[in-house]
Amino acid sequence: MFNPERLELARKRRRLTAKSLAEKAGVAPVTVSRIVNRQQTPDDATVAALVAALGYPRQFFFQDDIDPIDAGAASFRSLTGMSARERDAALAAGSLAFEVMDWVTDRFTLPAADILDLGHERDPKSAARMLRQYWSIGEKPIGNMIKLLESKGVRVFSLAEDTKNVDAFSCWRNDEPFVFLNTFKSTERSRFDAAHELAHLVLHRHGGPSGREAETEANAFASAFLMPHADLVSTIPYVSSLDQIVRAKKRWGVAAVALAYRLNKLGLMTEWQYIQANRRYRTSEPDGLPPERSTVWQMVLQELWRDGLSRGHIAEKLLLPEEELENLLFGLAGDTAPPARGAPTLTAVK
Amino acid sequence: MITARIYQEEWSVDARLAETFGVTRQDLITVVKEVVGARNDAVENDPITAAGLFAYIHGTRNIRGLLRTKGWHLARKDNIELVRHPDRPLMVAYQSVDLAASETHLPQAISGKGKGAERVIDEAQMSLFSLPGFEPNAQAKAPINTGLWHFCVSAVGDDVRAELSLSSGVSGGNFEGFIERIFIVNKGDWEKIVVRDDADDAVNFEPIVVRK
Repeated sequence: MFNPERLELARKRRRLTAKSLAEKAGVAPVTVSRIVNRQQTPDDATVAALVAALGYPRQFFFQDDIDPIDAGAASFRSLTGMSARERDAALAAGSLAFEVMDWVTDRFTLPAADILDLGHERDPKSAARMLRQYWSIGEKPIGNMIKLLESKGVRVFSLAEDTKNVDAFSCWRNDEPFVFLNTFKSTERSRFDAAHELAHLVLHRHGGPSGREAETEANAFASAFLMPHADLVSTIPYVSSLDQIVRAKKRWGVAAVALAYRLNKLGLMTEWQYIQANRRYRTSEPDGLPPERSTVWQMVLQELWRDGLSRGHIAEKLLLPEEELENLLFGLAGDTAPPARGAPTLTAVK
Repeated sequence: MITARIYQEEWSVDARLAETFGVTRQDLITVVKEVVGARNDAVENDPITAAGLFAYIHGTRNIRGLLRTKGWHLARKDNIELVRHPDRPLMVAYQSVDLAASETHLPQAISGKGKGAERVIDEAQMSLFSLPGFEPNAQAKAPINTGLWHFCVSAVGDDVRAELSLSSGVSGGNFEGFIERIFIVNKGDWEKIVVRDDADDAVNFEPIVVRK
């Protein structure tokens, strides 16, 4: 039976209004409205027109309801400049990611969630330190944020939205944490986004502050999580030049301006130096890091490749347009080549 | 004045340190970092001597901390704070100096050297005379494994330098010369040291994925 919820989801993914969808499909706007409101079941010709307009496989619209993400429950990195249409498209991508993850977890065992609930901790810097201790990271820099999140049971997807207005968002689905990262951004920004989203998972799972206050908390957490105080001050006792910032940022994998901000807040960098750093590095990241990859997606895709399943095949099985799967994995898996002969394989659980 | 034997190249410094002290240049750089970090703890409200005092306390604490992990013992003589080798008459003291690791300058203690220090150094360096082939007022021909060494650190703005050196004695209230000098932080090294642009000690996680 035709599922209007899926029609809505596909429409949101394509960033279409109901009216523009009707125009594109060549049907009356009232028809679309009646279908969405379950007042009318579309005939074959209407379904064919909607399918053609949306570019989704026909069968996609005849499946069970899809888990929606409540806009209030998802924490968006950026609040300003994001339109409702952009937000809805991102949330719809999240719902597709749930479908993808269900398919994957039917076939693979992934790390279970191991995230502290620190909603009671009102100092984000303390929360960052507690989580570091809990994960035995201490004061060490974090090599790869995506792998860290994945190893702690966070499901990481790409948010390949070609817009700078949607940075990242996170949500819980039952007890499974999800993070969506805009992989078009620089690695340094993306790492900060990942730490920012981790903050929401840790601090705001059960409410707490919202809006601007929650974002400020998450930023403070991310800053302290990526650049722990003791390591920072022992590595950079003082700032002698801006070039020093560019070299030092690699240690913590952060943007030059993020490091300058933290150093300034800690009193290790003068106001004047901070202003200069901002002026010089705010719009272009000097000496950028290579992109971070996902171990989970690389391993899953390689393993499926062994079974002769390409990304196209997987999208087909999921009844998704191939580009939607590509969007969700964009930049995370890299160019996952077929595994070399003799390469390590996954172990089957008996 | 005695012309000191100087170890300056990284490979020769590490070999020399391992031979007598059982530490690496990197170990001693960690002590220098603590010293510089401690100096930077001083704020305007502190006494004017705070930076030097913090450097002395943390220099002594950390050089002792480092060597005691190698089995050395805490020692104190005539108000000189030392750390002593468990088997040989070999001691090390921390010293803040005007300029370390310069071939054209002998490091001078910031606070000068008093009579107590003179006595302790004379006494400790006496052990050198029993070494085969040792000639006073001549450059050391072979590495010396005894005596009282000073871990000298200088911090003049961004110019931080350090050396581990064996003084020949005290004269006129300060070091009169050196028999052997091991340069730990040379001119220009500090900027490279304070910024570790690698993340070799970063923590890395690998998620485990298992096929069902």
